[in-house]
Amino acid sequence: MKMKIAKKILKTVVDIVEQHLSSIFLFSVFISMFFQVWLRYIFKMPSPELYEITLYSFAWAVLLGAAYAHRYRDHIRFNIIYEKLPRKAQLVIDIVFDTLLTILFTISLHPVFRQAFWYHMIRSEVLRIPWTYLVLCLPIFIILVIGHNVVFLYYEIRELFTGEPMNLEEKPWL
Amino acid sequence: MALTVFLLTFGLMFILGYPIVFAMITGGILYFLVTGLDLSNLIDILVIHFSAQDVLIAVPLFIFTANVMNDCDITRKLFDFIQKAMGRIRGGLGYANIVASIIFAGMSGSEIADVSGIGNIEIKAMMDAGYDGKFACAVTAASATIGPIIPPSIPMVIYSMLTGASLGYLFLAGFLPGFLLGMFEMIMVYILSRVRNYPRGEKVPLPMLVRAFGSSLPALLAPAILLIGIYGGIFTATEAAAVVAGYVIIISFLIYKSLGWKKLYKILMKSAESVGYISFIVASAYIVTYVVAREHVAQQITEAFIESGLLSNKILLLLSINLLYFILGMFIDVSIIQLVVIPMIFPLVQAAGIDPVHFGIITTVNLMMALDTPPYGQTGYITSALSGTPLREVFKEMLKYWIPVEVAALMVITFWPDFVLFLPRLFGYSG
Repeated sequence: MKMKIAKKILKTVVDIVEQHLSSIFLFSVFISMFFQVWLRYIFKMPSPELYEITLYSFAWAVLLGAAYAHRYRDHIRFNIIYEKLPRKAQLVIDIVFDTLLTILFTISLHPVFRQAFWYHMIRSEVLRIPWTYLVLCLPIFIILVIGHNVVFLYYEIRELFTGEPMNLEEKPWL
Repeated sequence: MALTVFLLTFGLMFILGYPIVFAMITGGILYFLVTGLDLSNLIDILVIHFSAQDVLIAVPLFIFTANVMNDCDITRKLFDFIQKAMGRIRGGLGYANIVASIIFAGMSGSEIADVSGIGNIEIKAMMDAGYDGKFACAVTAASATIGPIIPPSIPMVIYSMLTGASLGYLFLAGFLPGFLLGMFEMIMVYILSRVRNYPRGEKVPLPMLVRAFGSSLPALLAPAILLIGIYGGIFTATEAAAVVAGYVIIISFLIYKSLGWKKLYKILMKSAESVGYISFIVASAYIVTYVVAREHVAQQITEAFIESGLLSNKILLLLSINLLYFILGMFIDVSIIQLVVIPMIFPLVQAAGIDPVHFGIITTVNLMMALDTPPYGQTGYITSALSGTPLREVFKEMLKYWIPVEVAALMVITFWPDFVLFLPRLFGYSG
């Protein structure tokens, strides 16, 4: 029961971060860019503040969207050879590469976090927002990918030994 | 040693079907570890350098615009009018398909958005009218290649970011080649319609045609707003993406009444995922660019070409590059060709004195053709799935009739730079 509740909370958090925040940041890219044009052209008031918001939102929208796409394994892949292989070989390939990526991402997490917090000293020109808030999307992306990979690895190893397939339509976090 | 580790890891993961973004990042991290570089550099490459390229902001906005248009029935209204206007001619729906793609091209910037959005409507209309599936699929796939050649264009945005070529002039340079390709495709529709005796549509009474025109007029105005805005100096090519997205949202809300807040949010979520895998691949390609630059790979390739004497013969060089694009396009995703190959061959192109805007159009046409060529031609897979026509038949039709048409247009574009650069020069381009 406790496990179920924990899973539900985890899923809600991941949903909020990947699905909803990435959509909100995308909307922010659109709206800030749109109003920049209006302010400059109609009111003759260029807005560097809005430009900074666009850049920050853009980075977050892309990185969180990328984590969201990884959740459903939607990233572009060259699958001509992969699809010709037997399912067991596919699973072995996925397990090896998922493990390699997870290990490397885990190794890079500390230096990336350290650098992200170092950027606290540098601030954006107009709004004076520390760059940490711009670059923090990368460590969060790395954590999300590691999380997804752990879930994938669990399902892949289970399928390799039991033959029970993973269904990506069922949200992996459930 | 480090370069070998990078190439081996990237190559192996790529060939064995692991997501390309992660193949690049994994290779990059291993390269960093072998060379002793600090992994914190990942932040500079993947976030700071990437987000500083403000031209790339146009990409998510074009994706968003295309999704709003497809989900809010704007594309349907557009095609409905063109179908009524051209349906009377023999093979009329084939022409309508091409004209609709040209108009949709002025709003979306993505071939895949064209095929899966308006293409879906086009194929259904053609098959309902008695056209065979292979023709409906092939003409839809071929006409969708026009999309990113006529501005706006996501591949041109990425090319501009990679090479520093002016996005405004690239957009201008795309018009004539896009129309040329459309014209070549219409000639093929004409020939096939006669040979196969494709049907004529019913005559549409004038009031009905006027009504359909009135209904599609707000959508038809979008490309005009985009062009007047960019070339009238009102906004930049990047800002144009936001203006068109805003315009499309406003007309969907107020005129077509096909968009509500819930639907808008759903479209945003759908777009966010696409943005994730389309834009992030550009960010991760910076790792490849970083390694290529650090290891002087581009210089080595250029030197090898100089030694071989190939640079002194522009025709041979352009033919070789076209052939390289064509072969790679058969097997590899276009974004990878663009992001990995361009940084390596662009110094060559510069050394040979080829105009960067002209080369940008050659590259864009090649990349769009790559989406049509089997075995990895994504448009073939999408149209086949949409229509239920066997993939083999779609590709057979493509290879027999439509790829040769595209190659013919590509040859004109490649070897007649004055034609491509006519409009940019008219607007002050000095190349």
